[in-house]
Amino acid sequence: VGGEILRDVVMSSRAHATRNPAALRREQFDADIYAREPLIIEPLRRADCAQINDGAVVVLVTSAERAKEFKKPPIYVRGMQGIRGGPDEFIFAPRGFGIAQQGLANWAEERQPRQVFEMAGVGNAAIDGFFTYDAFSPLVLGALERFGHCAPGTAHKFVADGNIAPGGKLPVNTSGGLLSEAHVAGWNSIAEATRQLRGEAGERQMRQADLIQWGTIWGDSVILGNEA
Amino acid sequence: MTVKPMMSPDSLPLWEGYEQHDIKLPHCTACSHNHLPPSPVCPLCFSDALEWITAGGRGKVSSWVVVQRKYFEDFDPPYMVAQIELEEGPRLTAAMDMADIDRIKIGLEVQADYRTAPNGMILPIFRPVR
Repeated sequence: VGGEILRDVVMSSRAHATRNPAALRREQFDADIYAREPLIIEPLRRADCAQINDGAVVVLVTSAERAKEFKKPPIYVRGMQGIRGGPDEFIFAPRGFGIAQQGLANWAEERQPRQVFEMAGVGNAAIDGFFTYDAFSPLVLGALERFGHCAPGTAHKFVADGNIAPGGKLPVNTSGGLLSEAHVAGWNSIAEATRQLRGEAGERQMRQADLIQWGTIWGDSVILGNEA
Repeated sequence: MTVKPMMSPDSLPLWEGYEQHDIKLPHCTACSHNHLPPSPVCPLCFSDALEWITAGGRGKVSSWVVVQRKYFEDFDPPYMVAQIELEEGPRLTAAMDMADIDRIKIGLEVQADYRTAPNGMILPIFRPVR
């Protein structure tokens, strides 16, 4: 495989961003424009790196009982799992890329932690959208595989087939995410997931948005739902 | 400004080994695991019974990037930064020669050569075996 597997991630992100008036990278974008983007650290081009900027997001977290007092309908944390530890783990990388990428465990075959699904009482098929930390385009591919939305080594095909783009089987980062909306450390994607679950996403509202998973390539995750 | 890596008592033998054209690896005498980067204890079993061994300098490319932007005054892009899986097990981040850019691929068999880097340090640079 070549650079096209990253290009497809970026093109999907831009396609989402064109539907988001708040996104910073909304300019026309296609494969030719991607190919002309300057290389930074090959294979990463400028477009594979997040839109850096300042920003702020506020998330109010409280009990389901107290949340009923608020004007907006509450969004429920249906499941969660924390960031993973151990010598095989490294932030910004899939399992097995820990200290010096020594691959102490056969991580591809080993069962990945799935507490987030077990706690929510659902499997992958119930997830309507997947939101992830996409500071760099390859992180999206790894996160899709880490949580079992794609088998190891197949995420690029899943992306190339349009599954994470608007209207796809598993839309990813419908605001454009860090790559195209803005790098607000992923909190902007939590806010976008909330809008989708409340049906407030306007032009980019997903066909169905009852359960949305946030999950990063390094293993932390929450499943958010619009019902308790 | 000349940039040099941070060196600690745990890692100094690695850098000194390069001056002798050797790749030194920490070896755990408790569990026999070799590891990089150097650390005060074995990352596998946490024993501190470590000793330094000399690697053969052969390995396979496990990944690489080509830096296209200037980050350090001494290092002019483009230059290749590769990860070499040594025959002894650990993976070493090191330079490869841009002259070999058309041959590089995952699994390419390589051998350590040594050059004086632009920052004045003697560092390994890996070349294809054939």
